[in-house]
Amino acid sequence: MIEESNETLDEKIPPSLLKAMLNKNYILFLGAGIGKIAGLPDGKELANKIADDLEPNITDPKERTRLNSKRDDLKEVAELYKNKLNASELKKLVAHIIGDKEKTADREIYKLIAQLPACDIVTTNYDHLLEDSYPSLNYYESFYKEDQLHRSPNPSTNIYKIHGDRGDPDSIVITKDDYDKWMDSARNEAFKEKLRVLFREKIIVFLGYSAEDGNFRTLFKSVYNSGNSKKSFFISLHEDLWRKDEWKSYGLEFISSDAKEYIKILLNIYSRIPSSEMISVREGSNHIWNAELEGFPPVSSKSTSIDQNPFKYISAENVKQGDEDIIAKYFIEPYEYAMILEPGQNTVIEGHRGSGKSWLLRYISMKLNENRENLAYYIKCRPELFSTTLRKSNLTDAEWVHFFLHYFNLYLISNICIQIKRTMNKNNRDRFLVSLLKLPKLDSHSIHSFDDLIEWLYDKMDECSSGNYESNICTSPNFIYRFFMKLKEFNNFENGYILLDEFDNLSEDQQKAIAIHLRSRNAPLEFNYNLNFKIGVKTSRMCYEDINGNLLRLNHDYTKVSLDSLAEEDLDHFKIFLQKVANKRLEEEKFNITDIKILLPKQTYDLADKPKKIGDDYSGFDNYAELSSGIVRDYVSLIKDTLYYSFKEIAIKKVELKPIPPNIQNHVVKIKSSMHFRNYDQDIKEPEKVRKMIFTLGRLFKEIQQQSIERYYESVKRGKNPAKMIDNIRKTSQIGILIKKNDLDPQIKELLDEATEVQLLQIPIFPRQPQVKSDITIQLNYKFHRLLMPYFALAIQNRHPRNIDANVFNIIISTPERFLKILLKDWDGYTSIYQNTLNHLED
Amino acid sequence: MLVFNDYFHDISDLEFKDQLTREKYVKEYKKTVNYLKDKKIDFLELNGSIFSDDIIQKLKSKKSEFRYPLLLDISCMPRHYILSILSFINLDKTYFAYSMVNKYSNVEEDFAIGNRSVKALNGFSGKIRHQDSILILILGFQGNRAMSILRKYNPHLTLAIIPKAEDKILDANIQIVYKNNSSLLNNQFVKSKVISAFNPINFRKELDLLIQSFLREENLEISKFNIVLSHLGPKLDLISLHKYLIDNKTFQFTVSMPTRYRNYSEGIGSTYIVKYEDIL
Repeated sequence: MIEESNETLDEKIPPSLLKAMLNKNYILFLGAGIGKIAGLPDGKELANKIADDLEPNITDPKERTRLNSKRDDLKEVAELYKNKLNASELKKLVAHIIGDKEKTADREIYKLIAQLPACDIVTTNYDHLLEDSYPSLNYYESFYKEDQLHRSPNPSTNIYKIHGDRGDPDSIVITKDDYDKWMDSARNEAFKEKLRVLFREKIIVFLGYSAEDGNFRTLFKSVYNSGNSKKSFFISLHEDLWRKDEWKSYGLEFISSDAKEYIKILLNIYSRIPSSEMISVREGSNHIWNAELEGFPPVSSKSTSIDQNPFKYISAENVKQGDEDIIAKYFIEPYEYAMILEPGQNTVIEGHRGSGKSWLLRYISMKLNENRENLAYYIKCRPELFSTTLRKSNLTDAEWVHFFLHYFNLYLISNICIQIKRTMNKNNRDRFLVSLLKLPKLDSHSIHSFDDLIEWLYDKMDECSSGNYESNICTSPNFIYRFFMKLKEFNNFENGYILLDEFDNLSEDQQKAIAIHLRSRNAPLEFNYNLNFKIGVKTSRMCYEDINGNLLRLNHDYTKVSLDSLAEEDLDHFKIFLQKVANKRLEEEKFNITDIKILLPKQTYDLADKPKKIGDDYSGFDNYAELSSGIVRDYVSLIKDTLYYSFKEIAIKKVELKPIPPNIQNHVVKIKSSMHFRNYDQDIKEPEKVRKMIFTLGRLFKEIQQQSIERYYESVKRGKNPAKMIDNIRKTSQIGILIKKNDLDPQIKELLDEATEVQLLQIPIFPRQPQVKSDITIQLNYKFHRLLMPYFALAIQNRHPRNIDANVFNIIISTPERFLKILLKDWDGYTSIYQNTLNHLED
Repeated sequence: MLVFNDYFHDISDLEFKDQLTREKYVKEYKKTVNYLKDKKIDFLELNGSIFSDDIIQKLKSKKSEFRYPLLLDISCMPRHYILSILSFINLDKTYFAYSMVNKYSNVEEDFAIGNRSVKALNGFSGKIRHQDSILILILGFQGNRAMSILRKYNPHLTLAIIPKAEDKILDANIQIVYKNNSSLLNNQFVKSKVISAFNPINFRKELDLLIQSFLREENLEISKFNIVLSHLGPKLDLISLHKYLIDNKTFQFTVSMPTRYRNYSEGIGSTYIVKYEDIL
């Protein structure tokens, strides 16, 4: 972690360099100093090793004296060696010395360099440490001699080894002759020209370079004198090296820093901006968006300590115990928060990935425990602990429930004991242990300490994992209530809570077994306290049935809260919530603007005057909230990137915020939308089919909207009411997909699920009554992700679900033209919509 | 005795490129069965889905009928079968045969797809605690399955191990591995290392060294993390991985079950035969 003030960093990463980094328009020039950090010999050490090798071959005392007086001078020693033996032997020796040293080298600095994405690297070093630090040959291309230049450059990193490569000793430039030949020989002209072009076009960052190579100095200065060189940076702790050659007059700025620390600073900034491929996408109106050419910072996945963007990504996962104040600092109560806290009630908290479930549960655990009447434990359901106890076919339903609830007891109690060990003092802990050991099934003979207890619980879990089931050793389902009863003797709480996060990591059978706890609704009366579950689970991943197929009853067995929803009736609540989320971040980070509506002003235009613009504007807080469908992570990410784009320096220092013009907001939104559509296939099984499905639907919606706008335009000319017409356009601009389930092809269903998984489609309607079975279930009810709207230039307002028969939807991939034909057969203007959509698909 | 899983009969778990390939597959199956019958070689066909443990259980119940030395052809076996079978046969008297294919598809979509479930393999659950996990993925051609394991486990850090064969022809496959796993390898929380492939003896030794050096380089104290390991690489190396897991009982071995198997290779290439005790 880099602990430096903004001022220092500001000096170390000047804006021009930051910009060059963002555009990957810079060169790292690595000198022998980098090799030295890794433990490779520097010039002096190498000279001494060559001298040691040469010495036995010198018998003449005069020559020996000369050698000893020049032992530290690499060029001199190399010259003596060449004259006494030969140049070829010298180069083999150098290759051997370097290769040998590589075996014990500290490779950290090279690994750091290899993590910097996409740049050109010029080096005077012969070693292979840099190449070895990349995961594979795919990640770089290395050039050390002229006849290699015909090879295509690597889109990521190109390494130019101007003094040769130890793998080809003859290529090594070490003697005076070598240096002279390199500079004068016409054979090297293409290589030199390549370097000249690089120096002309890019900013150079010199690291570990002592500027001793006269050839390079000549080359660099000639480029500068031709008036084309850009300002570059000389990173060193030795200012004298920079002064010596008057580098300042050649546009080279000195930055005092250790080379390794400087790479860490660069990396720190890049860790916010991971490598991304060129994103060149076709936007709905046929405009080519090229995210990198637009200077748009790629999506960030990890923030750094120097990053001052108030919307930088912070995951609840990464907030360690003891740092929970961060959770409280940014927390905003979601809609229906009171319902979550209600004692005596189990609650299921559903939300898409990134909707803030973990953040909420961790906050609740802190908040509840502030009141002595409560005792709450946050417990994450780890897949690696539940994947060991999937249902085995040899167990009956009853045996399975018995077995799994035993494992679940052990899971909960071991986790709680670890938390108790951290929070309860030793005396109380020991007393608690004595009391606890009176419980049946606990082995009081082998448990003498709290650590013993935890180990014993782990051992029992391991036994379950190995598949052993013996009903007589299993704890009863009530064991967890007995355990809390023992806790009550020490805490005297009224309301106990188990906050289970990532419940979707449990299989359906595991969830069905736990349903027994939800069905019992509370601790049995005899225990005289409440014990309830608050469960965080991904939307539609909760199984609301018990093992016998009986549905759990909403508002009886559990209440349910959704952290995001696409239902129109819920949207206002979520907008208020999202507004508060943004304002809280701005306030807490003490920015000059603390109202997101001021930071993101909306476009003002008259719809009646500019009807064709209806699908073009996505600016303003309301649109940002709608585009992200109420999902906090998407919403915060959208604002975050808008800020990075508008105020680039916010990545390293605090800046004064100004309202961001709507055109800039639109610009960022369109790029984000394009990236959303282009990046999904990184972890999808059938990307091409999913793309085809989404594209077919998107183009169809677009054509419908387009035709509606044209009709509207005609109607306005004929004097019809524009407001009503606008409403009609909105209604027809998008279509939700309600698919009747019975006949849906399993492979098409899989594509729909995949598209949902990667958020190209969304499941829109919160199932208030999941118990009511109908033809159309929540899983078969999809909508376009709102963030795709800018990609297809669709409006983001009202959505109107439309039933599509499963048999019709089944042919969307195999025969999209037929799909369109059937779907549009009752539509006015069917022919042109059909034909235009088809034309686009063929494109 | 030769033992067959009869998924040749019940091919609902398999997806074929086209009807022709499907027919060819069935024809080959019939040819094999007829050959065995002609030669009067005993064989046993087992019924059950490729995705369940039923076949393994049935096979286990027949273990008293196994005659040693045993030659186990693992060429077409799913990975969870191989590791499960290794736990109940006499390893000291077993030889393993693995036949290469002539040609792999270079399109990722042709390989097995999806993630039906991720489960810890019976007998290799490891010692998993309430703490973050380190994921060790031995990569193969099925990039989307590797990614699904990564997403499921959300580990603290991942070590991606790329199998590299010394044989030049086999080594060409490494490009497919890189291509199909490119998004995983570009993840900043994934570190990668290269291991010898199709070489069970070196694989065992190198795996140990690789994991140790990875933990050292990343300053990871092993007791503070769960170690979860999954293998999607060459099956031949799975035999030495089994040995490694026996020696490292705290590690969990995870199997990713695809939603569908597809056929992604053609022809038969060289056959390797390895004796388990040589890996020691």
